[in-house]
Amino acid sequence: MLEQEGTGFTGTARAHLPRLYSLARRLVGQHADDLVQECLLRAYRAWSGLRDPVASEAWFTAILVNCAKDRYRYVERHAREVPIDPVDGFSLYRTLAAEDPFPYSDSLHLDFLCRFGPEDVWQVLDDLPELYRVPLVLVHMEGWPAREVADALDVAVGTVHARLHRGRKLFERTLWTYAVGNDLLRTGAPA
Amino acid sequence: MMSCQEAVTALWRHLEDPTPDGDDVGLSDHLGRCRRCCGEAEFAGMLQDLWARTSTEVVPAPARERFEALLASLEAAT
Repeated sequence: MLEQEGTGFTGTARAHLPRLYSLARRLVGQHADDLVQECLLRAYRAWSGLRDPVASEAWFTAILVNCAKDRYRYVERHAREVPIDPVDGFSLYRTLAAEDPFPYSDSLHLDFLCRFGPEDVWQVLDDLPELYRVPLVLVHMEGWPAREVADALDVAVGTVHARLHRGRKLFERTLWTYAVGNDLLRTGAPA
Repeated sequence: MMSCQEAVTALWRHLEDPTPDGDDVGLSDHLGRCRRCCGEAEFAGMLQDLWARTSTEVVPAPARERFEALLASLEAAT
């Protein structure tokens, strides 16, 4: 057992906390503390089932994602309807080329994205419905294959692809409106 | 030859769900001929870099205190 090998639950959990918190921050924004706490409690209850210490990182991550899944199922049942809006036609790449916010830039798109720090991106992510945010984070920020996300969320892989597409479009549009609303397009704004 | 819209869709599908035996020939062919879609591909990489930069390994002090208190209570209960 892990306990007998000197890698008890608390020590292992403590070692994984920074990574779990980072993922939780991106999955559920300001509710990250609650999600990590729920994850720790579930992991503690299931600890005796973990046989391979090498697998503990993936094991904790899977529990955290399950907590997030349960949370967004609850949110989906109780929260406002997500309005269907014409986001599919939005392209940040084309919008930047058309609006040309930095006319003297030789690297317009890169200059635009360099204006965003982690806190800005978290705020943009927070504005996305969890239905779209969770697959976006798992695939693009955690490197999960779409098929694994489909398994974890109990949905078809085609559903994950559709949510990724819509989530990315929402992210791009929200990034643009955030930049406009927070004065990030001003020449001389901190890059 | 696939359209630009099809190429961008295929590009993101490839990034989101790469398959070793996937048919990316049409996409490669398109990117070899279309300057705008090459820009789209480059921009996709920049977006992925932006997402990667959001990772933080720092737990804020109030959260850390909360987790430590929980772990201590679980340890005491063991």
